[in-house]
Amino acid sequence: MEFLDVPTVLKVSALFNLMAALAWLTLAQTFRIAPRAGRLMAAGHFVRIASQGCGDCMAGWPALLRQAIPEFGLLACTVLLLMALRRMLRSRQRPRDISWIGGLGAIGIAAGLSSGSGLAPQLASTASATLLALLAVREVVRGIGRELSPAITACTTLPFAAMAAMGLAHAGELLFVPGWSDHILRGELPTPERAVLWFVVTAAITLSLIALMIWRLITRIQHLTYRDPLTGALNRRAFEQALAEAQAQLQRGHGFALAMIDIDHFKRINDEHGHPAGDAALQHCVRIWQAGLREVDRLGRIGGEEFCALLPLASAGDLDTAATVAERLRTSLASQPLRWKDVELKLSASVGVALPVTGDPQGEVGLARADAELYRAKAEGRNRVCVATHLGLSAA
Amino acid sequence: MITPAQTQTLLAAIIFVAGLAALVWLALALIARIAPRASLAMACANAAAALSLTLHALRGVLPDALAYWPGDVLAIASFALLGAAVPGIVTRELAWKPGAAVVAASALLLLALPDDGDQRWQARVIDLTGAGLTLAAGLSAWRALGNGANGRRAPAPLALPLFLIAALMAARGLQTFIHPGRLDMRAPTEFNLAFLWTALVLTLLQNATLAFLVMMRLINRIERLLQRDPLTDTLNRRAFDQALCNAHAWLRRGRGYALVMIDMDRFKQLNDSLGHAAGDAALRQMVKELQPCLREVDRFGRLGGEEFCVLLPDTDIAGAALVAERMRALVDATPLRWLEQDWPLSASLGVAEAERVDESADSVLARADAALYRAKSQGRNVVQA
Repeated sequence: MEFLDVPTVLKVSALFNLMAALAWLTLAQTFRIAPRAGRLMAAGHFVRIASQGCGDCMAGWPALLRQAIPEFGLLACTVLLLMALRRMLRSRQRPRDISWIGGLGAIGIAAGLSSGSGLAPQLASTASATLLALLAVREVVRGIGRELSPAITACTTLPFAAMAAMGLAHAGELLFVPGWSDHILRGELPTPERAVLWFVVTAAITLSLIALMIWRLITRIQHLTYRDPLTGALNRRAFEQALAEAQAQLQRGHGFALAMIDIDHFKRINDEHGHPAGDAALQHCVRIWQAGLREVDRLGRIGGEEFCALLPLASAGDLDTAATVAERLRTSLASQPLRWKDVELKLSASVGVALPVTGDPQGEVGLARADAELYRAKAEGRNRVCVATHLGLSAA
Repeated sequence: MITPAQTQTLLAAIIFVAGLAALVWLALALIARIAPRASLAMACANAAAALSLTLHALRGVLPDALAYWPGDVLAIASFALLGAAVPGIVTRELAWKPGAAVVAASALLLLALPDDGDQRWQARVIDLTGAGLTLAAGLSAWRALGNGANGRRAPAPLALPLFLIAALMAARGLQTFIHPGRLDMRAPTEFNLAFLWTALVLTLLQNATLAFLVMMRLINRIERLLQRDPLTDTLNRRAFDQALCNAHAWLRRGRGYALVMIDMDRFKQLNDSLGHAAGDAALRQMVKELQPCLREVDRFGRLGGEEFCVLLPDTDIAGAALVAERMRALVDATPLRWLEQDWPLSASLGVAEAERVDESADSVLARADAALYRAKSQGRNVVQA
């Protein structure tokens, strides 16, 4: 890459960092998208500009400063990057590991500088930056690995992995190539390959964070489209879609059961304690039921205080399992009253459980049967589960 | 002292940035499915720019037949694609025909022009066509953004990078008249250095601006989803309450409002006999019929189930009753057509006007509700004040 001019590469990299920092700030300030992560990223980019050097502009500075700025800068911008990443992925992890690695790295750099060694500060900053990059890789894989395809996860992780690999390679160079550590002390420019590699990795990391942010926006939109805004249960349209899919699976022998759930005396709560209490009751119920359902189960709000749970069964026609689940939902709600403004509101629900029939693409027959059982439960005095006994195997 | 390495580095940086941007837009179009057509056009524009600059940088290395004419046509194509993509993101229509015509015409023109040693006429054609195309795109984007085609928060200055690119290309075109003979972008001259730096900044800026426009579209969609009822696209309960609260705040300052409460008659019967899908269709049909009765300032919200409410600012009870009566007649006029079967639709309406003694909007809402109840008890399909 001898046709490249290293100071120009460094300036281009600074320009890119500047634009990226401004973009993150604009996103944070104007659009209120990921404001804290955006500010951390902007700070990281600014630190990077200040620390990457710009050819001969630090030529007249004292050697200690020339040595300290790149090392502390590298450490600081990796710390900021990892903090931004955690915010972006909404990780709940305490930043204790970051502060340990960052703190130890900073102490290492400072100790190395004071001992006058050329090697120690570089080794300390490289080692801690590499560790932080590895943490970032783990963070991304944990954050999105379950929800996105492996290819996309790999693409998003790649820049951080590349950063860790570069750190390892650099540490190797420092340890095994004699005289390498004097490189910075003499104020030499990096080779074109090194400058370009750093620029490319910086750009890739920026892009992968932007990709994470867009992914967050899209999941938000999907959530809003498929979920009932009040309770977070599936809305009716999404539930109908899930039901239609389950009916298609039923043809292939994958059975499921429907549990129609209706909160008892819901109107009374609304009338006696107001609409906010009613809303709180709905949220309370959904929270309890979601906790009692498996990941494959689907809970939808059909309307008002009426919900329906779609319960995939291990063997088609296994009504007993479905009845047990429904009974568990009923008892868990009955045992956990809602606290509303220092009043304990006792909540209960009636449940009707039924099996679907084949040859009913929209699942209306199954819903109607579960609904009929629900009516029976209501008529028999509420707070109980009624299960359809009649087993028809095709649509009437 | 300017070295060839500096201009080469900048050229390589622009190629890198454009190539990267092409990949990002491609990912947006294919994986995230955000504004797919405009994003694809942006990906192509960036790819064409990167390829054309690569061919330019490799002049002398590659055979001339490959490095010159194809590279020039790609350059013009990238401007044309940019010109199509920017208004496309705003208006959601991709007007590609004029651009394609310009590209074809200039490709033929480039072939027809004599080669007088330094390709100066070719360079002028490219620079000035590029300037013209981006200027046109900038103007149409400016107009579209100003019209608020993309919602209220689309400031026209977002079209600015296009004007700057047009100015830059025009400057390059003029420079070929002032200093003919320095046409190669790799030549180490002051002008080339300044040109390449500006081009790099503008490439970044242009892509960032468009990415912001796409973001804004996403955010508008989120806001819409937060405010609208998904079935009927009227305001949802929360958004309507907000609008009502605002209107009530204006009441103290002398601007009154009236409410029309609308409830579809015998909705449960319809649902039970024809099914939920028919009920949904009936609600949609009613909302669609009522929309033309509303002014821009009126707010139409779904309070729940089959109950709707219209907020009419600056309207007294007589005006509101007039609107309500027209609404009732409209709903009554068209039955619901469901599976070759007509189901008569009608609605009962209650009207109330806000008065200065009203503590909060809830009491106005309660009066409208009471009027609706009276309308229901009078046998439905009537308006009550």
